[in-house]
Order: sequence, then structure tokens, then C-alpha cells
Amino acid sequence: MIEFRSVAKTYKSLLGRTVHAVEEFSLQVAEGEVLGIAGPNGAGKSTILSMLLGYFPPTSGEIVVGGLSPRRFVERHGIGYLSELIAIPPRWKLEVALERYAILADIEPARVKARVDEVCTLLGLDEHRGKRVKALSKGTLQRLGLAQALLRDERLLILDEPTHGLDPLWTQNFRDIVQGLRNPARTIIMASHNLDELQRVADRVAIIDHGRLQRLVSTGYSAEDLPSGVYQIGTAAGSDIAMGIEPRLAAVGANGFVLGPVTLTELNAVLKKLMEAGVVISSVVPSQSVLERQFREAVGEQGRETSS
Amino acid sequence: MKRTNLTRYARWQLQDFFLDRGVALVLIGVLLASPDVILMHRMSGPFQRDPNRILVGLAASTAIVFSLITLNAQVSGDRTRGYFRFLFAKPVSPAAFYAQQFVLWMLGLLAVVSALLGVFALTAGPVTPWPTLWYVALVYLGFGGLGFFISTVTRRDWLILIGLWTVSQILVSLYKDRDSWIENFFFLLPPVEHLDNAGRALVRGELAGGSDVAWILGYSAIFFVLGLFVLHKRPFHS
Repeated sequence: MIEFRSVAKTYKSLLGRTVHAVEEFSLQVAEGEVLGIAGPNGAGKSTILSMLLGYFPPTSGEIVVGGLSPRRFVERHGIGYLSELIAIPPRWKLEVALERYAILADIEPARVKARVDEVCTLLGLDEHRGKRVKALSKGTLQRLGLAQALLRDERLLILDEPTHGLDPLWTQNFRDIVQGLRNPARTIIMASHNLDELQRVADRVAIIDHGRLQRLVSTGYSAEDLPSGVYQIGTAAGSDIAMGIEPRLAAVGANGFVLGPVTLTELNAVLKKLMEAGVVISSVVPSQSVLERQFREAVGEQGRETSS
Repeated sequence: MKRTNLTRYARWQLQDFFLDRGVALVLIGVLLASPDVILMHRMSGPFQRDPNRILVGLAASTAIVFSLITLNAQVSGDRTRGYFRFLFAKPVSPAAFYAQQFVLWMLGLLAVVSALLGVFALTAGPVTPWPTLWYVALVYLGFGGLGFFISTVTRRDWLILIGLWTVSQILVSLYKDRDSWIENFFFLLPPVEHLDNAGRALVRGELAGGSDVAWILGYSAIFFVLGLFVLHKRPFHS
């Protein structure tokens, strides 16, 4: 669906200073995939997304979307796009804004009203329909941004920091919405600082720093991905006997323990031993996900120093 | 490029013009015309001025201001404020979007001027509207192509356009018919000389001559096409 071929983007200031925003970026994204993009501030995420939308061309290399150049793809098919900064004229009313975007998205005239109704309901915007954009809270504005991206059944969705400003309830709802949007014919690209969110939603995550693809991580857990890790274990009953059964457990609070570093095999053996002794396990949480570990390794302070 | 969605969006572009700029233009027009109309009513007999002559004076002084207000930030405004991000993620060509807006906003400008002419006729007396409307359209087109092009490449389009207009006025007034080498480069400047000719035709109650109109339209068309080319090649390069 999408292919970046050795893409680079360089900015030159009037004073002749050169900034390499993206360098040697190559990546393929399959149809139906949910790809996360993670990286620290200034890593080049937004530049990559802007090039993907055809807002400006790469300095070198090539980007192909659905067999076309990005701009041609957008002008022919459209993209569901939520930008990091929600910029909608403040004078527009929420409902009017969605109607305008629906027209530009080429939704049939007879369907515009119904589609606006649907996205308003999906994103809890019904009570705000008559409000002007300037009167909306940060979270509501973010939902409006998401609503305009979902107006049409697009083949490609690009979401830049989609949960920024959302409260915990709508963050959870957003994950459900994205899961509902999963479709073998739809590709979703999501840039976020929130690794936990990417871990839950994405199939793979591209970790970017200094404009380069540092790592491409699969978000699934496997013994190979997690050679060893630290786990927080919560208990609902039997916490008083747990440490006697497994001496490597360290108590945290009344009903919690920390175990590790251990391998997945060791973890499972410990859990089995605890449960057989009558301990009721309520939760097992890795202190660091696969993605978090990979991210730290890829963009840690050591990495910054060597690549700058 | 989808034509149908853009055509359907035209009413919103017109509404944007009237709300963002049309109201301001009406207020400016009323404020500028009021003293002349009041003065006209206070005078009587042989001293009372012809409404058409008052209108010519007003049109000559306001056409450039009205055009600049209409042209200001037609493209760069959306870029500066980031509105382009959602607009052009839709199946829309930025070049077609702004080309349509350029034409619609000219029609909007003429509609506002027509409304002001109507108010003027009601308060000052019958006037002939066509020369004024034609002159306003020519001034808009005379600066429009260049203004459109500048707006596609920089955020300071209004300032640059005023600067170029001022420089052109000064150079033309200083060097015209002086056998100076500078005169050879007048064709690069905004067509102030041809617009002056159109203004003089307006004073005479006539429409501007064919050669002046051809020059103004040709000059504008070249820069307009250049602006479309920039939008097509590098829609929102920062």
C-alpha cells in the first residue's frame, strides 16, 4: 500500500543552515496494517506524515501510495487525516465544519447529513453541534478532528497524536474505534508519543529518531522478544504465603509483588507454583513492554549522543 | 481531481468572502462615501456636484484598497493558520480550490460594490454603474494574478504587493517618457500605467481601451498560471 524508498527531507534556512529532517527512510506498509510511528519530539514524524499527504515532496527518494505519488493519491482518493494541531476556522460551527469537510470528501449530497449525524454520535459530539469551533474544549476539538477524518470510508487513515487532549474515557473509546476501523482493505498509520497506546493498537511500530528509522518493532509478545523482564504481580488472595513459596518475589504494597528479571518460561513456572499453592493472581503487568524496551534502546541518551 | 465536490463547495467559499471581507468592505465603502454624499446634499443649485463625478472619485480611490483586501492572504492565510491540513487531505486539488476561490471572490467583490452602488444611487442620485464595476474588476485582475502568485510562495503577500505597487507607481511617474533604460523594464512591473489609463477612461465615463485591458489581463494571467504551477508542484512547502 505504502512504500518509502530512501526518502530524505532537508530544509535550508535563509542563512544557509541545513537541517536534515528525514534521512534514508525506507519502509513498506501493507494493506490492512496498523502501523505506529514513535519517536521523541523533533524526530521527523510529522515531516514523514506531511510528505505522505503530499504537502511537500521529499528532497530525494520516492514515496508511493497505492501505486501513485502521495499528492496524486490524495487528490484521487482522499485520506482520513487527523493532524497533531487541529486547525479549523474558529468561526465555523461544529456541524457546519463537518458538512464542509463532507462535501470536500465528495460524500453524496443526499448522504452528507446522515454521515455527519453518524460521526457526531460515534464521537459524542451531538451536544456540541451548534457550538463554534472557538468555544470547544481541547478534547472536543480533538474529537471533531477525528470525526472529520472518519467522514468517509477511506483506504488510508493517518492519525497524528490522536489521543492528545482526550480524557481517559475517550482515550479508551478511541482504541475501540480504531479496532473497529481495522479492515483488510484499510491501512492505518498512527504517530504517537504514547507507547502504551501504540502497543495496544498497532501491529508494528516504526521507531524514528534524528530523521532515521531506528527500529521496526512487532508489538506481539514472544519469548524471543522478551529474553527477560521485570513483572508486577497482583494478588487477590494468598499474598501472605506468596513470598514463602517464591523467594524471588519482592513485596510492593499489601497485595502486590515484583518479580524479575525472569524469562517468560520462568514467569509462567512461578505463576503456576503460586496458583497451585492457592494464591489468586489478579494481574501480571510487565514493567516495560517490548515496545518500551526497544524504544529506550533505540533513542536512549547513548543513542542520541552517537547519532547527533 | 474531483470537480463535483469543489463545485458544491463554491457556496461556502462565497460565504467566507462575505463574512470575512465583504462586511468590512461595505463598512469602508459607507464610511468613505458618506462625507461626499452629505456634502452633496448640503450644497444646492449650481454648486451641487453630479453624483457620477463623486462616484468616479470614490471608485478611483477605493478600487485598489478593495482589491487588496480581497486578495490578501488568499492562499497564504490557510497555510499560516494550518487550515490546509484538513482541506487538502480530501480529494481536492489545491490549485483548483484556490483558482475557484480567486474567481468567486472577484464575483463577491463585484457584488459588494454593486450593493454599495445601489446604496449610493438611493442616497446621492442615479449613477451609471458599469464603468465603476468594470474598473474595479480590472484593478482586481491587474493585481490579482501577481497577488495570487505571491500568496502561493510567501506569507507576506499583502505587504509585498503594496510594495511592488508603490515602487511601480514611483518608477513610472519618475521615468516614463524620459528615454531612460529603466523604462525598458516597465513591462515586468504591475501594470499601474495601464490601470491609470483605465482610471482616466472611467473619469471620462468610458470603458477602458482594448490594449490596456489586454495588457492587464495578460500580465495577470501569466502570474496566475505561475501561482497554479507552484500549488501543483509544491502545494504547501514550508
